[in-house]
Amino acid sequence: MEESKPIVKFGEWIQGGLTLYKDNFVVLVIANLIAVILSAVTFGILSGPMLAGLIIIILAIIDKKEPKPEIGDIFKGFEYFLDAFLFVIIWGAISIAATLLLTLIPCAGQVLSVFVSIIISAFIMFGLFLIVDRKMSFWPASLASINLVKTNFFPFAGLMIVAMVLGYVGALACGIGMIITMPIGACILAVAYRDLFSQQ
Amino acid sequence: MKTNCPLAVWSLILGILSVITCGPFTGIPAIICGHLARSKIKMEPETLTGDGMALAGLIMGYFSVVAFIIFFILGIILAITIPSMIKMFQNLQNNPAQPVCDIMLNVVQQIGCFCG
Repeated sequence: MEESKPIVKFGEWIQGGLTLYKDNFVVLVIANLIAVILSAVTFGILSGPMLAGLIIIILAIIDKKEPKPEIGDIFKGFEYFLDAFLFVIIWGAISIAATLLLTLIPCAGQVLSVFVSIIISAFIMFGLFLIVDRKMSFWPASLASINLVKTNFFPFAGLMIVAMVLGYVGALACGIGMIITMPIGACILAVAYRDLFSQQ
Repeated sequence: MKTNCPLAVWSLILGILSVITCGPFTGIPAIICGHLARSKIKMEPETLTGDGMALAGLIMGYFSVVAFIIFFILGIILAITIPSMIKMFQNLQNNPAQPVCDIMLNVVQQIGCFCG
């Protein structure tokens, strides 16, 4: 039997993500600031649990959990430390290795490396959400994300590009603006994740 | 209700400090606190939590200690080899490839200055 393709609701998810971000601006930006600082000073060792913490906050907001999520909930990501750490380190290493190898190709190498990093990010876009929300291990979560995205790859890759562009637009303001804009991408992906995985 | 093991929190804080300072003075306590916290959490799983924090502290503690050892050994190797390399290039200055030797000598001296 042929697997049904999940529908990518571009407008709905982006609109939902932006509304979520606007309504919870202070909590998300301060939580993201803590995540960015702790990830940077520890050379990325804590980026996995910090991202997991940010996802916990966003999912709790979407689910309208009581009591309301606080900034300190970012540290709840440590409950998933090992899987989040492995997820970020291993996929980060794969992405960097592929990018470095491709940049060796003259002319087209740099363009190809950008495409490959987008493809990898698109395939694993829901991995960390599955680790946090369904308490899955690093590898099954990665596989579940890959299996879902491959059924309708190009629309999902498009969504990933939009989320990345909106998230990194703050980099134009000397990089500091990223602290404010980065949660936008996470909010869009969280809305998409809730919509897709609540049906399964 | 479960509470965070205080040793796990200390391990995390000391681990972060050890990576920032790249030193064993906070790295080793982070490792000790991390191991103690993990064994305590295993013994009292009904009341204590924070295994992830302890593990994060452990990883950062080991990372900083290993980085310190590598930099220490590298520093000793450079301190031993640079003076002898300077001497070697000074002796070679009279040969036909003198301009090359001058450049190499300059480079080695600059590395020596940089490493103190």
